[in-house]
Amino acid sequence: MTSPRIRLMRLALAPVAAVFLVACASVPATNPKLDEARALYSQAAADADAARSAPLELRSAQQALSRAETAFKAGEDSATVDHYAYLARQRSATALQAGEIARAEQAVAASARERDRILMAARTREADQARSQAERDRAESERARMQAEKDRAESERARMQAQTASAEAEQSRRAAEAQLAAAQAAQADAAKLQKQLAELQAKQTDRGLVLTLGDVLFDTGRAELKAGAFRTIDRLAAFMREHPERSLEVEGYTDSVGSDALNLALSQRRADAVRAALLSRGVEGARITTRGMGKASPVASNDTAEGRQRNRRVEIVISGTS
Amino acid sequence: MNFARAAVVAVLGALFLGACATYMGSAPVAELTTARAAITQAEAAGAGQLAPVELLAARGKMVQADAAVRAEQFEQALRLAEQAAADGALAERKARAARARMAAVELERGNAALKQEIGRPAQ
Repeated sequence: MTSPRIRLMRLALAPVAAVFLVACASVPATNPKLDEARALYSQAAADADAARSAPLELRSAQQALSRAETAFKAGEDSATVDHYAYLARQRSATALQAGEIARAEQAVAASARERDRILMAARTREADQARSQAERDRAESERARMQAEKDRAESERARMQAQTASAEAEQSRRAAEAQLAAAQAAQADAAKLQKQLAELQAKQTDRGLVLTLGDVLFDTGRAELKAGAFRTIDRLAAFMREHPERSLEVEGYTDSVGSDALNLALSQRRADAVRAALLSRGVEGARITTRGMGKASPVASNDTAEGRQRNRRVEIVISGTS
Repeated sequence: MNFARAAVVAVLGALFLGACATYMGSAPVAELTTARAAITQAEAAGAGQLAPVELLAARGKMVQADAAVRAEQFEQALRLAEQAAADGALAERKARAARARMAAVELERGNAALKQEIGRPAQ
């Protein structure tokens, strides 16, 4: 029962739908300016920086876009649609530029921070470098100071060595001088001794140096020295004082006249007289020995007066180092 | 429901606009003032060099808006003023964005030069 009615309704609706479709087709499906505005608005709305920094522009862009859409849907004149589409487009673009500004300002801030960081790092590095340079300088000056000290010690040592060397040189010079002086003194001593011995008219014999005091220095038969003997005795005493290493052997001799006992006693007394004279002139007794030899060891013939006179004598043997 | 609401709004809006278009009887003083201010700000932001197309568009529309006011075409004057204001605002932001970008590039170059001058890149 109902089926024919439904079919009828469908038939009636078809022309209505057709009219509607025609009407729809007569309205332009798209408007390029509106499309552009819509796209730009979507872009701006999706841009977080733009949304944050230009919320008013974005809202007014949206309002303009809505009006453009509405006018477009309502089939209003294209000038109205275009006008609001234009406003929506420009305001969206403005919001996008605001986003650009925000990003550029962020970049500026980041660069400023980066600049601060660079400068800080450079200052830190410079400070580090300055500190390590100062440390190097200090170490260097310390090294130089130690070197100078070492050099000074070295030169001091060298100076001391030179001083020691010069002192040694001086010492050896003095030693050489002393040796030379000693040698000269020894030479002078030897020369002097030679001269003194010559003055004493001492003779070199097998027994050593022998000095003969002749008979003329004694009176006949007596043991006292005559004044003429004292010159020789003085020289001999002086010689003995000057040469303490020497000793004397004083031997008295007679000729063959008279008894042996008398001659021995006389010769002994004469030797003792010489010893006493030397003692009185400061010669130590221990260095002088005496012997009476009598008529022994004649130096000439007892047959003649001259020979006997030569045999009456005192011989003084000088012993010790010559 | 959304569709119904949108339809109501659209119809009301259309009625309102029609009313405005029909009954507007005075110059859009507020919009003109806003547009002039936007142009002044754009000029101050250096849009003359950095966003000349937008600034010239704004100025041209301002001239046209004034002419429309004189011709007592107030509806036309309103739209021109609104567009001039939008152009001026865009010109100003565009100029500011260009300046900010230049400053960023300048600073980045300065940093690079600084690093080079200092000798080695900071760690």
